[in-house]
Amino acid sequence: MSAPRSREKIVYHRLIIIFSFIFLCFSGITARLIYIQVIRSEEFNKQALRQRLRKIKLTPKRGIIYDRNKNVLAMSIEVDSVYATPRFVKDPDNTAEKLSLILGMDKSIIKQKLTRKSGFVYIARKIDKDKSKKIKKLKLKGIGYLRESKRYYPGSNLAPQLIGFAGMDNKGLTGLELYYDALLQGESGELVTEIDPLGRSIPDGVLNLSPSIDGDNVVLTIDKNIQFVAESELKKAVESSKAKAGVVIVMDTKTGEILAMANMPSFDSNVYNQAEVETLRNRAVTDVYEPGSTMKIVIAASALEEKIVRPQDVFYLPSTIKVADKEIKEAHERPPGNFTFSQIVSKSSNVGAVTIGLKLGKERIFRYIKSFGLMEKTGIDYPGEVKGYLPPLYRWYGSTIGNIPIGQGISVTALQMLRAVAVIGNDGVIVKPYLLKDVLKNETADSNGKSKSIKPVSRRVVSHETSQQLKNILKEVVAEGTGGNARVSGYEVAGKTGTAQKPKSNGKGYEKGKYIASFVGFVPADNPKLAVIVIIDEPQGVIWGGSIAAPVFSNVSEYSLRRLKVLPAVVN
Amino acid sequence: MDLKDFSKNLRRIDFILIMVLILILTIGFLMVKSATNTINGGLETSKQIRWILIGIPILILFSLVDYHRLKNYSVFLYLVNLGFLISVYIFGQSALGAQRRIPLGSFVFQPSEFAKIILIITLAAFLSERKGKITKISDVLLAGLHIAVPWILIFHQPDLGTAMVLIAILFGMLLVAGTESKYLIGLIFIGIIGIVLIFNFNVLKDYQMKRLLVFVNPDMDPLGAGYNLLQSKIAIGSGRFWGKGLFSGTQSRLNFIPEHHTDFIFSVLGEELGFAGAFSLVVLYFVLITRGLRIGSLSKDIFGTLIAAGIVSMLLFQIFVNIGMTVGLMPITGIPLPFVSYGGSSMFANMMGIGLLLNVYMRRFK
Repeated sequence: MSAPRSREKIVYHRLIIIFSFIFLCFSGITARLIYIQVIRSEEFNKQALRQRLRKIKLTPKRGIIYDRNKNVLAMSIEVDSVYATPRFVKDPDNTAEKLSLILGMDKSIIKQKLTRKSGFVYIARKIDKDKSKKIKKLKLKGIGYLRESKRYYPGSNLAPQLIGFAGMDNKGLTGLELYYDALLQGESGELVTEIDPLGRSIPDGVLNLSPSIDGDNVVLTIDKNIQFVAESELKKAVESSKAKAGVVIVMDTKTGEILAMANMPSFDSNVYNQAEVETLRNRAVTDVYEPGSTMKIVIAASALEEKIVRPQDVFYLPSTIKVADKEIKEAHERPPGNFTFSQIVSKSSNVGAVTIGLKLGKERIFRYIKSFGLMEKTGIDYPGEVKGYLPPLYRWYGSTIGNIPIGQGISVTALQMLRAVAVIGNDGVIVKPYLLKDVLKNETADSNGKSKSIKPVSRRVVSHETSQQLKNILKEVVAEGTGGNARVSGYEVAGKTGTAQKPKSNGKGYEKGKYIASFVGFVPADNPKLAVIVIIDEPQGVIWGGSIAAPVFSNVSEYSLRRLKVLPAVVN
Repeated sequence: MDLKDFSKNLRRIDFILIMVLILILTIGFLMVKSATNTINGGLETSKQIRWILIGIPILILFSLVDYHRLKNYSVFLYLVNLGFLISVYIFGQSALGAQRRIPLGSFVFQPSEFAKIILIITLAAFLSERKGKITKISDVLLAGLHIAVPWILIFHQPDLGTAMVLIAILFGMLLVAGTESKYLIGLIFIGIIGIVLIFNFNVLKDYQMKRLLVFVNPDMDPLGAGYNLLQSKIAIGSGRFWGKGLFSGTQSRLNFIPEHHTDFIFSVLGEELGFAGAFSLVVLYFVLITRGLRIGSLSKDIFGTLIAAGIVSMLLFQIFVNIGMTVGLMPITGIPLPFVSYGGSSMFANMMGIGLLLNVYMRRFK
């Protein structure tokens, strides 16, 4: 009996061991379940959601940019982008081969993308419609398509610097596309869908949709046709004079609305990535130049406003004039003689201008230059505007007062100078130039389609009398003086030529043979509608503003006046 | 076996065991239904109900035939077992890189599943001859050899999961057979050395090796070998306490969990029924196994005790390794969850096991 009893004892003992072991195993599992399903459950739940929910960004449609007559300058069109999910690409070699044939891309680059360790990789973005059609026909495994909107500029070469462009991700990169990006862009939405492990959306699996809000449309002050003519006239002038660059601005004298802002050399906005850097700048607001003789308008206005001269006052002017250590000459050598104040301006006498400048004194010159807005940005709604430079009074040396009145030692932008001259046309009041005429709120936005109106900003600079007197002088410039080529048949033009040597980049002296030819003026002189500035940078051969810039002024103005249906004055 | 015996035995049935089994089968069926009705329109569901319905008479048959009779046929059974295992190599159909099955109509016969039950019987017969006291090294070696021949055939298929179950059965039965502690400790040592050798001599297939490495470091390869484990944990964890509801598990229904109606069925349960459901199943298994252990202790002879010990070891190992792998406690091996995972062979073999337990229980009185 003892053997079986001890045997039973051993078995019983061993069964207890097994029971303990069973208990241990089940406790382990239970503890683990508590850990996973209770303690860390939130974390796993989040992972589960993240895994099976896909957030799709809904990109809003970027707003349209119109000219003042609702012609489209920039718009968004729907195109396809091709992407790959490398995991699902069955035969990367073959797939890359087929894609490279259609897309015209290097096969090895595509293959490298197809074999990347990633769930998503772009093959080509925003491709042509016929290309995407061809690719879709192949029904390649692991290749997908996204609808994306692409910026399209119907005008191609029309005002590319002004409008700027938007990049791949529909963000404005330059110009007005950048400046009004917030308006144009709209708000992106989000679509949350349930997906399976292969990344396919589950039908009826949409969990949340917050639609995107399309961008607002903007209306510019630009007139497409005037812009076009300004550009083509400028192009002709720049090409025929073999100049480096050129700018034309057409502004509404009284309101400050910019009707055209043309730059040369230019580029095609639709292929902006092929453009040369030199062509991208909107020089009208980003580049400064020494204005030369057009500066005499400001000096003359100051002298008249200060009543130290009258238009008919006569001055005896020597051939040259010495200021401190510097001798100032005329552009065209002449014998000493008598000039009226009007003639000093209309014949563009340097000696005369310096004589008047000396009479004014540096404080008053400085004050008026500032008052004409030449020391501040115009505040135009355009990114990257710069302001010119005028040395502060304590840095005026003996000869400075001999330079400033003839537009040397001071730099301005084309827009600053145009605005200053427009003061004379606008009865002595300075305006703020602007480009945005209207914002057309998108219907999806909460605003009920009301447009935003812009109130012109203005400030008086000189009196009515002064502006009238100077206007008459500027009429003479065109009628009898250096600006003869600026004449527009049927309208009276007031303006001023300028031919300035370009300063050396080190600031010491001037470059030989490098000039800036310009003309700035307004028309019709008595009740001006347009203020126009033409700047030709580094013309070759004939360098005079009156010869190169003035004809551009004439042609652009003539077209614009007709386009804007401005009645011709009765010429006596 | 006359009618009188039958009615007497019927009254001696372990009703708790039966009730627990019915509950587990019900849960299992619901989980298979949930896990499969997104694919193939529920073909697996109707098959699974068939396996259960065929499994019940198998269970009854294995409980009615007096287990003592089996002892007499042990040599025959052992040879039949080897015959089946060898036939896999002749008629076998490979699936997922392993040759384990022989198709028989709609049923796919997996001899390795039945090999476990047969080996429990034959080893119990062998060990019971030693009167429950294994003191000689030769007995231990012979017991080892008893398992080794079919083990090699199964390991070579390869069916690593079942091969490991056999080792668990051997160890459990030697333990209960009263093998001296020094031999058992020695066996554990040999096991450890075996594992080290396996790692160093490329015995394992690449995918098996990866699974083991991923078990050691789950974050090693979340999109590759670690994918299953990570997805399983996400599914179970996201079920939280009360679960997402039956038939509403997003992770399993969207196929994030692989093999979710077979090896990873517990992940589906954990997701849909939450901790409440998972823990309930764990408790049911605990009751099932401890009932088995109790039957072993109540057996009138060592043969019955050893059979019970073998079945308890088999079930415990399978349940622990299967659930363990879904929650990251065990490396991933292809061991189905008894009575729950989809599959005919596994269902029948486990039914036979419970049948044998009831068999021993009914005849516990001397």
